[in-house]
Amino acid sequence: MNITSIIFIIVSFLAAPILPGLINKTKALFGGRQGPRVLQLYYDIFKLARKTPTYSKTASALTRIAPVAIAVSTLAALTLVPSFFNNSAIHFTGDIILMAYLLGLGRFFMVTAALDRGSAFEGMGASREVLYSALAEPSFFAGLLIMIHETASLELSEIFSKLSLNFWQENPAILFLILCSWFVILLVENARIPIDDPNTHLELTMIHEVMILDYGAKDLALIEYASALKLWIYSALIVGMVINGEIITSLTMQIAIFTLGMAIVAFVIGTIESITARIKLVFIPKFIVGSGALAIIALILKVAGN
Amino acid sequence: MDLFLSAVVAIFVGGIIALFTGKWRGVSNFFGAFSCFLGTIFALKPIYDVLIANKTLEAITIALPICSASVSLDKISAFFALPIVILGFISAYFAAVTVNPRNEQHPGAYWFFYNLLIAGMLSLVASSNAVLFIMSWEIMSVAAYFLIAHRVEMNTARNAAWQFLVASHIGTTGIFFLFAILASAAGGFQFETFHSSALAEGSAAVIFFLALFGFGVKVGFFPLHIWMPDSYTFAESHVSAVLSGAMSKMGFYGLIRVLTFLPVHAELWGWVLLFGGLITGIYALVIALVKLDLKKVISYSSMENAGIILMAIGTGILANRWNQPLIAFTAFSGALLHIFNHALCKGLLFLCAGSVYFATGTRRQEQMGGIGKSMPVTATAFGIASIAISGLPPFNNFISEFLIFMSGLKAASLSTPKSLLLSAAVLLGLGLIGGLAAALFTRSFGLVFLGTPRTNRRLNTKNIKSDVNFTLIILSAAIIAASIFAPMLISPFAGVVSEIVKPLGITYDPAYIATISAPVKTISLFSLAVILITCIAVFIKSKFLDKNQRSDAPTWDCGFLKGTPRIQYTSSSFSEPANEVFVSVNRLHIRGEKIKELFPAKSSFHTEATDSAEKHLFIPAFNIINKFLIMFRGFQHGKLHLYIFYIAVTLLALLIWKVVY
Repeated sequence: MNITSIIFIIVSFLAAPILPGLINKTKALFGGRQGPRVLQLYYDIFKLARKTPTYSKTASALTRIAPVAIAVSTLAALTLVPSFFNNSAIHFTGDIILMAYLLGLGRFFMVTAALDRGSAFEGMGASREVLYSALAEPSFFAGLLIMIHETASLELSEIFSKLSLNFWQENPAILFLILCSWFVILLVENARIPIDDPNTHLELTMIHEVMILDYGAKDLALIEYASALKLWIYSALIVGMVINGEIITSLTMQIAIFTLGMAIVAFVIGTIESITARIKLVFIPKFIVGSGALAIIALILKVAGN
Repeated sequence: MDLFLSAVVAIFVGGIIALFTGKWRGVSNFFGAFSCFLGTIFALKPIYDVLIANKTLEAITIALPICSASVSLDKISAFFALPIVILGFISAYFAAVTVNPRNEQHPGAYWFFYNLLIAGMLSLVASSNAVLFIMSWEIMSVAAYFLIAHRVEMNTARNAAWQFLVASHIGTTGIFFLFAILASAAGGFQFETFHSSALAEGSAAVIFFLALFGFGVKVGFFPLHIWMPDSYTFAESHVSAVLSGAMSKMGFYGLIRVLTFLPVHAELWGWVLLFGGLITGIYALVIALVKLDLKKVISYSSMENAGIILMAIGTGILANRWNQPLIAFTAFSGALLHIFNHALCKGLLFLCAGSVYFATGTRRQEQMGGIGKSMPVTATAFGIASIAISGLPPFNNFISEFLIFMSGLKAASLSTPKSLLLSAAVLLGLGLIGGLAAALFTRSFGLVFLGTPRTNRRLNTKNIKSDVNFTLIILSAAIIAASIFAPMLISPFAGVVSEIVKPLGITYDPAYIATISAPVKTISLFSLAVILITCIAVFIKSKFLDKNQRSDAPTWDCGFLKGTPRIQYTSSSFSEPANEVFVSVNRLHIRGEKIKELFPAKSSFHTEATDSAEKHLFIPAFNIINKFLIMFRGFQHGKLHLYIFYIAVTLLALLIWKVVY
């Protein structure tokens, strides 16, 4: 654990709620509106954190434990993310598996907590969430497989630092395909349009939002924060994959380029949300599996290229 | 070795005493359970000696009528004895405190077969001789049959037991054949002679596929699994725990044991195990998602984990072929660790299901809900087991799956297309299996223990004594310990792995243990940290932050004020999106009519989920066999004079044969 990784964790910890703000600003830009402030989520979180929670009569201890468990597992996953193109705080062979499954642990708590209130709606979101994330898992690993094959290393930070610019220049198609499939995973896991709409008002069409219907106050603040952090983690993965940090030597430059990259990811998400509509629920599995197929095509290209 | 044998004998004799004292329930109960405790504790010492202290125990030879039977305990045997001992002990305790006091019929017979099963399995792993091996295998299978058929008044239990018996004997035919081939090549029944025998390339393949068939039946290799869900479901829960946690592992033991007899492992075998395991795992989960019976869900998850273990063994075989010892070592270690971890988890899940059944009197998830409030210990134990069995950190199954993942990741860094195919199968397959397993167990945990009760059924928690909870707590603690102390398991299990590959002439570098222990250590620390931080944070939150919380609000109901428990999401609605995706595999049969008119008449809706392998493969196959065999019915009239006529004809034919030749 070096000083860079500590700075990274602190920065991520503090700056994660900016990303949803940036996305909303982009959406407002497309809609010709002023939109909420970039820092709106901070205000929301602080407001919620001051309130006293109210629980449903049906809720058991799990409802009270789950927000904490979700936040802890997301934070634990953060320690494994490469910090500004450098080594992550904790890195070891196969660390990305632990990262993916820690996020899975957070999902487990989210889903079971949704079933804890005996609601008519929350189970709906839960049942969709578990299916979509199960289908997204293979395409995540397919993209990872190509990068491991190229770099012959098993540590996340090392994989990203060894992916030379040269490789992407020679294989733009592979880069594009992996990027597309990982971006779809980002959209799926973070409940963004076209998979899910964070602003929808109808319970029947929600996925992520419906699972937290019964949460309020401090619990909701924790969950909102953990969601922002999860979005941060996935965006950082995409930035780390595309930009080769090895050639940027000074830390300030790395931080600057990383920040720019994150902003671009947020902008792209915002753009996608502005120009596309949600796809029908029955098509979502096909959409996710299709994105996995892109990664598998990339894999075939890679093998053919050898 | 003496101690191990006396453990087997103690368990067996205890069973016999329990059988003859069946009239006095307390006495029978005492002897049955106590001999199990005693025997399993005895057996621990030799297992410890072999596995951890690296001692070699002297083999013992017993004279039998046909040949001599010898027993010895090497590392592989000791490893596979471990789940038997752990689950044998815990389940005996569970049985002693729950089943027999309640059960009015034959406690003696019950204990007899239970002890026979445990003793049979222990002698199976210890036998180093084909004759004793097959005898123990049969004893184990027959004892299991009687345990499943114990609830003989239930039609379903009888059918399940019958299915089990048929399947298990079809499998045993394969085992008979494979040992026949091995013995004829080696000229003896001793296992050591098998090692040195010169086998033709072709016969090695035949032996492997016979082993896969014979032992595949026990582990639930697709499509040989169809007996499994019913048998595990209709047996008593603690029996299911032993069947799934220990007996199905005997299939892996047999397979691994036979692999050690074969001088070369062909690449094809690795591929068959890898993709067979992959199909087994995914198929099991897809079918489990349409099943609504709690114990069936857990049974199918056994099959899923068998798939994962087979994938790991296949990866190991392939990596050995490709001269990638580190990958092979990682995969085999992952397989063994997963066998051990799965035994703990599955034992706990079945015991939880058992205590839920005592309280509710049903296994149908659709009729449960909200049980967690009146049975907090069971709910917590089931929650821990669900996280573990879904392969999520911080628990032990994640660590073993991580090792298997790691072998796949390492294969990805090789440059051949074949290794990429292997790696894609492992990574993508395990990814999907993990995701679906999480879907399956969030469903069971959520719908059984959380929410509000779906029926007015009164919970009968009086039966759930603290003794029952004690078994659940012990197994939960074992899971947590196996997660935190996982690095300590690696080095004894590595000894088992090197024993498996020794006949191939491969020795693994001892430094590999450190190579794979390093990430496992980090993960264990992570597990500990995640568990501790969560506990502390929850404590702080509940103590200080939630002080003025209110818990009297209704659940959000969208303004519909007359909500009843029936508006809750049900088991089948939870898995509906997944079932729609996998409809071509699960063939969910839906009957009923859609409502069309404005004033609809009474209508009904019914879904039926059968195992496709059973419906589309085995039932047609057995029908064909039946049609063929029915031709011979004409010979069986039950008329005595006809039978005498048959005898006369046979004798005459023999006489002519003797005269002519």
